[in-house]
Amino acid sequence: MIKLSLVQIVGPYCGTHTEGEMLYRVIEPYINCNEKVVLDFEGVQLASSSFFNELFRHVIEHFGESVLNSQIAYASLKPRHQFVLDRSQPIASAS
Amino acid sequence: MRLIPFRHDCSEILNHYKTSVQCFREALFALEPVRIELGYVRYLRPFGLNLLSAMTFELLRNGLQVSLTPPQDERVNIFLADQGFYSEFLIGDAGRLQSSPRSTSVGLRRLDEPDGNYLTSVAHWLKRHSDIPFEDIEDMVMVTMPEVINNVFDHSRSPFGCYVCAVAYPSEQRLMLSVIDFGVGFYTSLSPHYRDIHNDSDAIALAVKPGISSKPKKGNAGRGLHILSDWVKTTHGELEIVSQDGHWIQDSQGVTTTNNISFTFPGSCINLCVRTSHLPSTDPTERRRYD
Repeated sequence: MIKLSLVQIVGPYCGTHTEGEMLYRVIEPYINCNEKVVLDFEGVQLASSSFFNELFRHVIEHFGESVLNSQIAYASLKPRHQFVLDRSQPIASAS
Repeated sequence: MRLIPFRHDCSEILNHYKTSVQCFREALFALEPVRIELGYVRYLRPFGLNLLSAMTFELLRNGLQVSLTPPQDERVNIFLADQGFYSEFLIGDAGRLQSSPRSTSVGLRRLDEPDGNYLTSVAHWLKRHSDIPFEDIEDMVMVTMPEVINNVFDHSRSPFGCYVCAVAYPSEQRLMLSVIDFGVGFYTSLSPHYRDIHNDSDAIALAVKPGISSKPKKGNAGRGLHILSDWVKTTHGELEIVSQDGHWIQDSQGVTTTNNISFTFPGSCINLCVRTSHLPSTDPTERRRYD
C-alpha cells in the first residue's frame, strides 16, 4: 500500500480535469501492479466533481469500475471533500 | 449613438433588465457608439453589476466606442467604483473615483480560467466581515464556486469566461453571489445529446440532475450543477439559474420551479443566495442532519 499526498502531486486546488488527469498519471503504475493507493487529502483546499470525474474516468477505462473500491482509498478528507466525492461516484455504484 | 438604459432598481428581478438587454443586443450589431445610461440607478445588486459588466466587456470586445452616464445617486456611483467597475473599464467616473474595496463585498472579477487562489481570497473575504465560522464559509465557497465556474468553462463557450460578484448584506443575514457568462446557453449545449428537451427551461431542469452533461460520453461527467443544487439545499439557500429565455429557481425549502422569461438573456447566469444564519455546523455528525 502506498500513501500519496495530493498537495505534493497536484497542489491544494484539485479543481479541474487537468488535476484529475495529473493524479491519474501518478497512480496508474501502482494500480497496474495491483498495489492499493491511499489518496491523502491533507492540505487540499478544494476538490471538484470535474477533478473526481477525470480521475474516475481514466481508472474505469483502463482497469474497470471495481478498482475504484478495491484499490483506491482516501485519507484526511474534509466533510466538503466527502460531500463532493459521494456525489461524484459512478451512477451505477452510487448509493 | 445607441443608448442602453438601466432602470432605477437593478436588483435580482430579471424583468427589470428586459429593455437593457434588448438595447444591448441591438447596439451590438449597430456599429454605432454606445452610451450606457445609469443616471437613474438607485439600487444595484450583484446580478445587476455582473450584467452591466458583461455587457460593457462585450461591447468593447466588439470594438464599439462605449461611454457611460454615471448614477446620479453618489452612493451607487461609489459602490460601482469600490467594486472595481471603473478600474475594470476606464469609462464613466473612472478618472474621479478610486476603487476602495469594501469589507462586505468581493470586488468584481472576470475569470478566464478556474482560479483556486481567487476562491481562497473569496473565502477569506467572507471570514473578515461575517460571524460565520470560517470552515462553514470555506466549505460553501470551495464546494459551490468550482462547480459553477467549471460549468462555464466546460460547457458555455462564453467569449469572455465569466464575471463573478458577491456581496454580503448583514442586516438581511444573507450573501448573494452571481456568476454570469455570455455563452450558448443550456439548451444549445445539451440538446444534441438529449432529444426530449425543447427549450432552455427544460434544459436547466435536466442539467441539475446527476449525470447530465454536454459531454455525456466523457465518463462520469455531469455532476457539477447537481452538487451545487444539493449543497444549496443543505444550507437552506436559494439558487436561481437563467439561460437564454429559461428560468429555474430552487427556493429555501428545496422546491424547484421553472418558467420562461419574457426576453432572451444573452447567456447564462447563476445566482446564489445564502442565509448566513442557516449555514450548518462543520461538525460531521451535526452536518448529517443537512445531507
